[in-house]
Amino acid sequence: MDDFERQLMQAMSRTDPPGAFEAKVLARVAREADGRSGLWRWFSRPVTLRWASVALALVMVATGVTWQRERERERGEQALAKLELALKITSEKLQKIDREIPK
Amino acid sequence: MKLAMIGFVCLLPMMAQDVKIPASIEKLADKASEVVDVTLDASLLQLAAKFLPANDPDTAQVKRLVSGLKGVYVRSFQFDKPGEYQASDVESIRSQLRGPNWARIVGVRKLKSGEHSEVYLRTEGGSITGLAVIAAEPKELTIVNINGPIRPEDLQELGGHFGIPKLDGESGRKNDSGKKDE
Repeated sequence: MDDFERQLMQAMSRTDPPGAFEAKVLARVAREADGRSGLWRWFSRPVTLRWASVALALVMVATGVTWQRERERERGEQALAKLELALKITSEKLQKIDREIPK
Repeated sequence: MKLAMIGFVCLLPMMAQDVKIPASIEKLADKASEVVDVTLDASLLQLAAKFLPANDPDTAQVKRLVSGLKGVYVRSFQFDKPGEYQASDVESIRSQLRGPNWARIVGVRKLKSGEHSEVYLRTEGGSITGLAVIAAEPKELTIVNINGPIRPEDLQELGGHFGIPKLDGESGRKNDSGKKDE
């Protein structure tokens, strides 16, 4: 065994962590868990996330449908106003022409 | 020959389409002091009909009338002075109304005032499928083209409703005696 192999074995050999290591890790986990709000913890649950996604999708669809209906209503009202104007002009012209025809 | 026949059959619906408003007429908007430009195709007319209250007897008739229409096109120009449009501008419309399905049912020309008004009806298979009105005055030009089953009497019946002035007497009747030029 040459010097390099000896150094390698020494480096790879199993060493126990310092005595306070486990306690430190557990303390840190507990600290981080306490740091999150109750709402966040509730929200982070997979079931809640799923329902939140569904609700968001529903809200987006409802908003889209409402916007589309509103747009159609505006177009319909504009078309109706134009139709009223067109029929009024046509009727007035026909009436005028009719008056001018020698009876 | 077969190809020509197929082409003709394909072109038939196009031939039955609306009267085209020429660019020369559209350009009159630049000279006019007042312009009315109404272009309603079948889809917009259906949409408009949806917004007419169905249970209102005043508008029920309008709804029935509108639901059969394929297009309503109105161009009306008012000018500050005479001579802003040319006879050739009107002729470009009139020439389209000389087609086989169109018939001029009324023509009124007043030489003194320079007014010339005409009413045309398009008939296909014995039923009316279109109405066109040309009302040319020295300071005003109005062109109406309604594509679909409409008779002047329909508008008379609508008089007093939907913003349409009430026609008096026998106004709006079809004048089969036709061309009456003063």
